[in-house]
Amino acid sequence: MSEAVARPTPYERVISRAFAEAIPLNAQFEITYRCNHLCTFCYNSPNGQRELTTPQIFEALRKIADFGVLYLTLTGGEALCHKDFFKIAEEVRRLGMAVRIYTNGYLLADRKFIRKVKALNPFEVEISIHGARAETHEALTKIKGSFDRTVTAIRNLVEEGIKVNLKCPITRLNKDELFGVRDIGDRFGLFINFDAVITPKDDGNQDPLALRADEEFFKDYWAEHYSKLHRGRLPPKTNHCAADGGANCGTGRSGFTIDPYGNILPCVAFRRKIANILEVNSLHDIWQTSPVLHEVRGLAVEAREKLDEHEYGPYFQFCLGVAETQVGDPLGIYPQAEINARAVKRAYDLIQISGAKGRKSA
Amino acid sequence: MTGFARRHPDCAFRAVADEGGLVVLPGRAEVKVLNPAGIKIFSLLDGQHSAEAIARAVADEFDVSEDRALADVRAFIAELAAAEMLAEGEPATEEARS
Repeated sequence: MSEAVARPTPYERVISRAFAEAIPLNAQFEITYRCNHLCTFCYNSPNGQRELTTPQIFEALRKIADFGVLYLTLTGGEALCHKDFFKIAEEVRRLGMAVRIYTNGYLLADRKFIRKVKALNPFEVEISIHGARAETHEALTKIKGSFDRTVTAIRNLVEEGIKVNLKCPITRLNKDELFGVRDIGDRFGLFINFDAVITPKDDGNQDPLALRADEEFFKDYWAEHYSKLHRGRLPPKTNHCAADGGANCGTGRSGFTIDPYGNILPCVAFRRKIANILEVNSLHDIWQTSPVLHEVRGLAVEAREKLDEHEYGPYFQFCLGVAETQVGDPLGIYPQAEINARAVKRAYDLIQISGAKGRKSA
Repeated sequence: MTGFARRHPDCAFRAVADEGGLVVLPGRAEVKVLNPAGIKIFSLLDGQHSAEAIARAVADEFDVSEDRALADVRAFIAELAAAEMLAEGEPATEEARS
């Protein structure tokens, strides 16, 4: 049976072209490692260096804007813990970039902060929520009262008409209350992205992986729960940051990350230093010539080719950065990726079987 | 302030190769896709260029006469104004300013 191939929309064509030509539309700026939470699974690994000063951050932002970046995400740590967060965010807007804010929401329970965020006119605010109950959420954040403050922040943002994305990393502590988390999203009319991958720390420390849910859970999650939790969507077969074409993901291609010390990295997960932004005159100087970027883009293509040969190849969501920190090889298949791919394949197999049964009975 | 049309200060935009480009409207959490001529015009709506000057730039870059380009630029500016993608209260052309 032939399948109708949908023509790409104009938006998809622009995104694909940017991806194919490695035109970066996004940058993430980790403006500080400071945070008001103590999440046990946090991947940040501050090394004691001095973080960029506010004037240095401004200098970096000017270079990022001159490079033509469209979306600038302010993150951390907890970005709002930076003493000059609002000055920095205003500068992002002044330079003509759309600002996204990644936050735990704790400070946004305060109306004073909400008014200031509203004045920034952010493109969106993304908040992580770690459970449907305070006990669960706070077992992960280690901060009493953080659940109520996060939910209040969500309400405040929605009431102000600010676009909110909710994210919930799945752990063994919250795996049995994902529908309760979805209900919180529903209460505010918000979609929640559940994240099935817990990553090691940036320095390779594997402790966060102890919080992963088990393989039995993921079998059910991908086959049964995923579609119900995501309003009927089928499980994703590729990385969210892969437009199409030959590369596994957009690392060093569709965007880049700046850490609190000014190091330019291919993405938030694959943390190989390209250069320090204070030491380059222009990002144009390094984007096409950096040997690190050249290697990283090549690895992303190689990863896709390698996965295509794998038994569960079309079902892999694979992160080179996680592979490097987890198994010491950016092309190494790490257990969590394989578990998820196997379970996603099974989910699609079940859909085909039930579809075939449906056709017979019709 | 010159009095020429100016894109809304909240808009962020980027041209992508010869594919056109994206305009982000943060207040509405929307992204618009413009064709190559559209993104060229949008990039010149900085309050420093008249519709006539923009039309000349468009005619230079694309295979279109200056008269036709001017008509298209005016129509496009009207569309952008209706979509609230321009700063308010400013005339769009040399004619309107005189």
